[in-house]
Amino acid sequence: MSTLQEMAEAVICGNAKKVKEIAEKVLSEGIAPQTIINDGLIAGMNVVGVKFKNNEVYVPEVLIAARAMHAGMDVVKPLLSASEVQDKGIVLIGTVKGDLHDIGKNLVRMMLEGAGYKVIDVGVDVSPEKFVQAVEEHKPQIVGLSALLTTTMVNMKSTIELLESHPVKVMIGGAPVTQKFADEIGADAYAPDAATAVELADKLLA
Amino acid sequence: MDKLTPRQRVAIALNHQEPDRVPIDIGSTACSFTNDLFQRMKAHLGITSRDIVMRPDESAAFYNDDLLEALGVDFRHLFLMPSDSHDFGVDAEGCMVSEWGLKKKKVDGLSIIVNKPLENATLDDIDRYPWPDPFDPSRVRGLRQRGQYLYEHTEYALAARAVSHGFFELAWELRGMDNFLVDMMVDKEFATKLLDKTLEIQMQFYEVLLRNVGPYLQIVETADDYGTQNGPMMSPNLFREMIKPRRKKLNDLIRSLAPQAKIFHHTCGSVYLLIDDLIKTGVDILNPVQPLAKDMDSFRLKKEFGSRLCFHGGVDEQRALPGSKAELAREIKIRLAAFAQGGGYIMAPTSNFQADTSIENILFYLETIKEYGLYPIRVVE
Repeated sequence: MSTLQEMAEAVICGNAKKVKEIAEKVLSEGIAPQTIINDGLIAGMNVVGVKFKNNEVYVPEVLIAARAMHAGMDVVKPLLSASEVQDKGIVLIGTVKGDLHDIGKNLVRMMLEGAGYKVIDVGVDVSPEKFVQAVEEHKPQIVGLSALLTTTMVNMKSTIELLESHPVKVMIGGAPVTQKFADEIGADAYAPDAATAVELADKLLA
Repeated sequence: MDKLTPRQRVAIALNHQEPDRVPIDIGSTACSFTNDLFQRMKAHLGITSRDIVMRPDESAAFYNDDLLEALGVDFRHLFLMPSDSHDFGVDAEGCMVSEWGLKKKKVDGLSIIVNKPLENATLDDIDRYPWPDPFDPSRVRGLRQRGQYLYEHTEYALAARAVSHGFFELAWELRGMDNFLVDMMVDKEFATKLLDKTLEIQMQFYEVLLRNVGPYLQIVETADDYGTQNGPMMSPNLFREMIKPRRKKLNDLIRSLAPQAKIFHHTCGSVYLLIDDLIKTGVDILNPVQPLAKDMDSFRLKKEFGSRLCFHGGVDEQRALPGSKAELAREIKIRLAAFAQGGGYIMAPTSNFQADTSIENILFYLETIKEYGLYPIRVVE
């Protein structure tokens, strides 16, 4: 197994200490930071995403894997020069107005970060106006809206309406949300789970 | 015309036999009304009597026997009350602090926790934390008399619950969900200590409840959410390691203090992979068997677990209850066809009725059960 494969394995197992150690080691061996990120850290998180989707691992395993990935990122990222920072894209993400349930949104954030996206997390209970403000400030390609409640998912519609004149794709998700609902309110994509959110983000930017 | 009393109806159903019709439950802490809807329903029915406020910090805080009477519900419910000495006042930010030190804010009528008091806690902080006192006498004021009255002078089935949140739920609420799930994987010493503490207090709550009203009950309700929409919140192995032995301990205590009662467990979401383990901890009744969650197909659940487990709930409120009457009627018929054969089913919504469900739909829901819930159950069209 190559050292970067070993690093990916350590991400998958959620072994933050080992990931950090390997990151320091491979850096000293002269491997490029971007290669470490892509072939070690992101490669590991991709596997976790697939396993999570297939119910082979659960939220706790995803959380410790994300923690391990961040331990590696903290070592490697400062060494990237500005020109080297290649995010796959920018995704702005938040739960809609009235909804403070953020576990699902946080998982999507971790998965997107794990896949190489820059994620701007605008938090919970975000009004349509605040989404628009944040879009104007951060210029994302994709906006992700999350809702747990049937009573708040209606606020996805008003957010999408207000974002209409902005050049962003809107992806939605959350327990009560369906493809049918996404179609009705004019969302560009519906993700039933966090791993699919990554696949859809890739497709939306393709 | 009903042939059986509600208590007989429920007893037969819980014994896995078919009574005259499927029993109906509203008013437990797993299937009541959110506060605003509760008051609107009362006003609609012209009920003016005083409510029992059994959990001021929750989205569904109220209970009223007259409301249940007017709706034709088969159950009456008993609760341990909050401590009189706790201040449930609302602060300038609109927040109320629970007896567990959780700061809760009402957003559009739903109660949301906004702090994590044990986020950075150490093992010693668990010992130092100001835990609620289960033995505060104000919790049981009038409880025994109410239980005795309902048992001796009414014909309703009686169910009771000591706490609304389970020991796992409380642990992650205090610590923060992400943090606690990580603790369970990498800091087992902390996770174990916190779970043991929340369990210890819960067991004391149940002890107080059941020493007062245990003999009157047909159902003792417990709760702890283990499911998400797509699967369990943790792997079955982690569940077996961290949760199952503690659940068993709690259920053993309940069984010893109310041996005639069935143990009800509420957990939202997709828990198919945990059901066998839950049954082994002593759970007799599973609520709310949320049909739209993954792997929770009602027909399969009944087929695989129906001989060992009663089902309570089932009527979807993510789509059907706020939907059209035709959709709702169809939903009710499907759940009856799935769960009601051979008894072992109490019909209820999958959570508290929410603000987006109309009063008209709730009344229609009850009429429909009384029409189609008669045994023998007719097969869905």
